[in-house]
Amino acid sequence: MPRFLLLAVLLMVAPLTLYASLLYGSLDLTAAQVFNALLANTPGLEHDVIWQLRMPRSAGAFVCGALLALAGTYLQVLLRNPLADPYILGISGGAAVGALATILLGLSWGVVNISALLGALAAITVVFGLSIRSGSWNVHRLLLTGVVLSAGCSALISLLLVLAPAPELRGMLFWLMGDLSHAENILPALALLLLLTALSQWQAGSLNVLSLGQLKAKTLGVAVLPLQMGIYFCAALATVSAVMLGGTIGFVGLIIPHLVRLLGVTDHRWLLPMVVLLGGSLLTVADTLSRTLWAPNQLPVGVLTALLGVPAMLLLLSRKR
Amino acid sequence: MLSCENLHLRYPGKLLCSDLSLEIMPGKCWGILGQNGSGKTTLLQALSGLHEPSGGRIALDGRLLGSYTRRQLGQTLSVLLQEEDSWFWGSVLEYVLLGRHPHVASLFGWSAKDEELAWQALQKMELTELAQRQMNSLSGGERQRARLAQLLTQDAVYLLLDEPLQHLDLRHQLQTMNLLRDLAAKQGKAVLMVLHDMLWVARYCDQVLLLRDQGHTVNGAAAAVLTRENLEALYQCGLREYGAGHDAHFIPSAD
Repeated sequence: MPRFLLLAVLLMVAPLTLYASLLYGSLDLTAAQVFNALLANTPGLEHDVIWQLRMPRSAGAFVCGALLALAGTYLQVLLRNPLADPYILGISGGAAVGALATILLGLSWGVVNISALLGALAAITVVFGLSIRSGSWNVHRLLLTGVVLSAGCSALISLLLVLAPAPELRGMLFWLMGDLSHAENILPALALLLLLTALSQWQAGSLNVLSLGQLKAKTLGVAVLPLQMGIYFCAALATVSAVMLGGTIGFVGLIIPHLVRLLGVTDHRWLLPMVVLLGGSLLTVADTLSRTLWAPNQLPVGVLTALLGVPAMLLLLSRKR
Repeated sequence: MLSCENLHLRYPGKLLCSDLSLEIMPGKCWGILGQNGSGKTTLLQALSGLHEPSGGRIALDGRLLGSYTRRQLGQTLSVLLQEEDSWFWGSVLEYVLLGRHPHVASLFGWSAKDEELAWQALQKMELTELAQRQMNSLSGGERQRARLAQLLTQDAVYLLLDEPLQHLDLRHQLQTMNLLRDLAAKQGKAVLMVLHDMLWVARYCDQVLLLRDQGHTVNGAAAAVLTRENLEALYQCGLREYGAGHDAHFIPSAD
């Protein structure tokens, strides 16, 4: 499929998934009711359900998915490793330790978010500080530092889970597997997504060249070190922001860039806007399913992203020579 | 002009070259010869601003190399690296088009001129039919030709090539050397290449630089530098000489 056509399809799919996510929930609403509630500013049950419950969550899911897909793409280029995902550098591990420690202490969700942010910032600082040395940066050392920190965080997470009393354990597990039910104030994350999308588009050509290696990128006119640092901090910001919205939702950041590549798009000038749209759409659909399939219970959204993404990825892999 | 003055290059525990002064002019073809580990790649990288020399100055058109931005250098200097981790997801055409990166800042797509240059380069490297193939599905020789096509697409004045003939069969070696010589002689490019085969150097290069041990170098016109004595001292083995001038070639003696 030509790239512009694929982009056009994704541009249509994204609002459709958002609209569909507003239709389904504990209160049955028709398409017309949702449409009216979106346009009219008349208070009422439908208006409140759409604007106060479903829209923040659906938009949060979209923004969260788009940020994770963007972060995954950045890190796959930066680390030149197809297995890289937003969580490979220990950022989510740091956030998870911060968040789970506060959940264990029984503090409010606001404090949990701040604690997750502090944990992620600590991880970013440690990984960056240890991997840069006398003005030069080695991505292999960056990867190794991140993986080691991730392993340390995993051990701490296991310890926190073992120490947790039963009532807190379920909330902690949901946070770890991804949970968008606390996604409320999405405006900062949305602003970040728009900023990163614009920045990515500006630097997409350089990302193409960087995927050939540092030395080759230099010969093709790229100031490699500033670009790499920029990618690292953009990926870190996107990951932190996504984790604060929905916990550590797996799979989106790893698989979405590969899905787009398997569809034949490898030029980052096209790939980046597509991963934003596809990542957002996939997580919106997964979140809608997670809260409706087994209502009134909720399934962890990370399970749904994997259940949707794995067959799609396997199908594309089997069709690709 | 790309020049270096009193250039010193070191590798930890080893002096690669000392007090080297060169003037690489457009229109000329240079060959660099030396034993393994003699510093050929390091010199090429220093001349292209990829490696910081331990002493001396390198200038491009009278300005120190360090005063240029990487983009400016990419518009003037193109480099074929000896090794390139071709972990590239796209097609051969997309790979070759990346050679235009220093010249454009387009948010989407390439200009008609970029595409034209890429197709011309693909044609010269006999890769037109492979243009839509995935880069990582090519053979070693085809990949080397794609790398050369990218270098041509970059359309720089100075071409610095580290072992351009590796992985190529004899016919493609000949075509590549003819192409590089024409770029220098007819299009006014400066070509500087690291080679291992003295035959190609004797036949195609105007100037030769020998990197000998302990930082000693010999450079000058090919006919004057490519003597049996110089090459025996360079490779530290006995050689027999056949032919003369551009047809001179050297074969290791039996012992």
